Amino acid sequence: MSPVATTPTVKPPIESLKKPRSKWRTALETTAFLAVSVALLEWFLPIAGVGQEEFLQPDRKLGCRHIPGKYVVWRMEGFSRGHLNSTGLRDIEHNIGKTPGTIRVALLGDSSTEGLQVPLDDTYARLVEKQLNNSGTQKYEVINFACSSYSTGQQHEQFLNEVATYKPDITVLLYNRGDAVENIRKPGKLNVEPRPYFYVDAQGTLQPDSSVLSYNQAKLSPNPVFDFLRAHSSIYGVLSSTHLALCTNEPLYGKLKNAFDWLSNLGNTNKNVTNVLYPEQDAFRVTRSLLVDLNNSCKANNSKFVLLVFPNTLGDLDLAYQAKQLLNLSKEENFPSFDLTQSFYDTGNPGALFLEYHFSSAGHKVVADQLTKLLSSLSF
Amino acid sequence: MLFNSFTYLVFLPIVVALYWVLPPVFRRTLLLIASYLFYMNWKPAYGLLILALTVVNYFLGLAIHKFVNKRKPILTAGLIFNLGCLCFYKYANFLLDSAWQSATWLHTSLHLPMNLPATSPALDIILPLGISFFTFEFIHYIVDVYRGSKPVTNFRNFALFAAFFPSQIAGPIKRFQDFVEQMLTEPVFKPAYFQSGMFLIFLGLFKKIVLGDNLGRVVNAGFAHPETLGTLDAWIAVAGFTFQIFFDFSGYTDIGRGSALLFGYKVPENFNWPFLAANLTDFWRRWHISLSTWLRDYLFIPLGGSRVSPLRQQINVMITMVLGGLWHGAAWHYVIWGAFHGSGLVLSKEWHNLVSRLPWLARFRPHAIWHYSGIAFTWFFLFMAGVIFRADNVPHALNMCKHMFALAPSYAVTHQFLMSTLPITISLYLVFLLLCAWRDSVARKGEHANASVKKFMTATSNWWQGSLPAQIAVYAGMAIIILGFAPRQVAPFIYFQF
Repeated sequence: MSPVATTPTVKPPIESLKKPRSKWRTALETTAFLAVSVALLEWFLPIAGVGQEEFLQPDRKLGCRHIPGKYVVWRMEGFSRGHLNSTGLRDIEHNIGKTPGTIRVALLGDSSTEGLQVPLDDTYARLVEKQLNNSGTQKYEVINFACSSYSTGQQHEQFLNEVATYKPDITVLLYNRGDAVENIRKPGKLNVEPRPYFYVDAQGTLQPDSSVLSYNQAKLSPNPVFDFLRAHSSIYGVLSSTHLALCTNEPLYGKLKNAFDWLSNLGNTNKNVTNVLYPEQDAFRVTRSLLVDLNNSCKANNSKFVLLVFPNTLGDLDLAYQAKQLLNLSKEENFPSFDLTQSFYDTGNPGALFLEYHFSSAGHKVVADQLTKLLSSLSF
Repeated sequence: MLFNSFTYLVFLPIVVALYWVLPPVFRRTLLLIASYLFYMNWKPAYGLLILALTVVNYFLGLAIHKFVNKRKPILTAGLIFNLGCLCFYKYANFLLDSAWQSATWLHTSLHLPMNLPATSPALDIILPLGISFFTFEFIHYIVDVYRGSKPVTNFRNFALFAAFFPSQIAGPIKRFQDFVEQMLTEPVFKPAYFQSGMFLIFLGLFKKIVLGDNLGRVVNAGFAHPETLGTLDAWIAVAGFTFQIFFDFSGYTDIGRGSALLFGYKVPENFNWPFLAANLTDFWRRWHISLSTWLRDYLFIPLGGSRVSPLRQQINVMITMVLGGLWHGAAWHYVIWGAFHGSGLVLSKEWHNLVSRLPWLARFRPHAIWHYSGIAFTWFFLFMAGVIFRADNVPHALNMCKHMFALAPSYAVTHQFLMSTLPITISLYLVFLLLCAWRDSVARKGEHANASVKKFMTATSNWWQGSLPAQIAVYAGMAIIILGFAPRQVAPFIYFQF
């Protein structure tokens, strides 16, 4: 169906075309029309639930964090709509001060725990709280601190800087596939994700490597214009997610972006980022050290550390090996842990518990059931 | 290179700018080079294939024209050559596989002694993009020269007709008389063409990316697991596919026609409100017009057309539609789809004849309810045909049909559809269609139209054509809307596989 005129006929010249137009008038008119266009789009796009997927802002310590109070409509995988809370958690509002007699549970993790792919009430964080409170007289409060793309290292830093102030009685971390490699950085790479990295020195001590964060300080510093656009503009959201999609899907765009990055980094004299001053690291060894350190930090803050391992339903050999090692580590370090793999298989259709990469509502329910059992069994 | 890719977004403005900046004498050469670059961007070696086909058909056209006494054998050789190429690339593996399956069946059922390979033999062939389209253009060319049209003597013009990138991969199937005529004069920049072209490109991108690709996600979810579908789920998936293929293909056509207009060329329309067709014959006059008219002119009419007995006519319709189905793809479900449409056309004709013979029934014809029932029945037929077209095989199609007619509660696909942006974007598109219908109805009324409405429309149209700032703002807004509503993954055009 082509509702456009089938044969565009050449019309006689229009009077307005014949008159020479002032360039200034054309520029002014264009600006005015663009302003109207922008205003209409900024009004229409949020109603349509488009351009609301920009929910992270740069952070100098963690690399990125949620934008407090941001209204997010998620369509990339699954669907959800709602506000992040006033402190930037994908959760309901929580006070920093704890209600007496309530056991507070802090959840750490990445996008799987954050659960933007399902409605807030379907996330395992909300389900666990509901189930625990329905199961007995003990009151529980579950706070979801998880944030997309966070590595174990970021979760470690997040605990020290933010979570500890909430004084959780229990801290649960869901370890996901890919977390380990995100904790270390490879030498010579400029365009690595800005986040805190770690290494284990010759004495076996865990050491932070903040060179990438330092290198990107300018990018990670607050910028009033971009911060405002990120938080409030749907058009910015559209352009940002388009940029991300093009970087992933369009080789030509990727090449142009790399060339642009290279040109814009020509003046950057900070060469630390390309010269890693320690030997190449075993990602999983660093991750083990991070978990041991996190367990110790939890103990120091009177919080019990619990480790969950992401269900390995795809037969990922790396994750299987890591799960085994992590369960051994939990025995050595005396903290509870649970591998979700068998629970997912027990449902008979593990594929239905995922959307594409993340848990479906049914998947969140299975995680919630297992975590509820695990937390109920902990003694205080 | 896909029309909806970033590469095309870079390629098209560069070529358009160079085309109008260069002196007129170089413009067609530039367009020819650009067309080959466009094609070879996918697989460089196949540039040689299209070049070889062009050279052979160019000389065949000249030979048919020159050697009048031998034109029939030359035409036959040309047809064998073109159809041979098409069959080799498109149907060789299909024929081998069908032969192997038949032989295996004979071997196992009738215990005939045969030395058969364990698996279906297959040749290592990659189907050249657009071969079904440009082969049909070549056949049209040599047949029309045989029928008396003057051949194209300028090789560059003929090569450009064959390789013209806006219509190279998935049509519309051009007629050389119309296209070459546009090359008789030097290209002149026409603002009206440029404006229509820009509008068509944006409209096509909206149809393809915002409507077609988003519908595709819902359709894929439905067809992936038919056993889990409720009744409404199944209907949404099936109806969704019929509209997906329309938005995908007509979107492609709009972008192609729009791109051609940027260079000052017109290529034929392919769609004319097909979902308003009140019967199947009318539908095929409105859907993929360039293919249906090709099939009419170069297959149905040579077979005897409507000048033969009613039975022979019906056989001709069936042959045309089955081959039309096979043209879409080398698989049995396309053949069945073609046969289904052929049967539909035959029954539609018979129904029309029956109604004409029964006066008590014929008197209902002028009523609106008759017309709208016809549209509804045509939609129903198209949905059923869509199941055959989209399904992986016949059992898959039957499974989908089973869930369409078994009453069961729906959830997943219906939920996915309602939670997507489709209800909003389809509403936007319907508003646009209503505006177009209103504009067309005013134009149809001509002198009888309301004077103030006509004045308003003329003033709006003149203002729009003269206001570059408004156009910049509207196109920028449309670009944001298309990007915003686009799914994360770019999907290729469905008709590229044909």
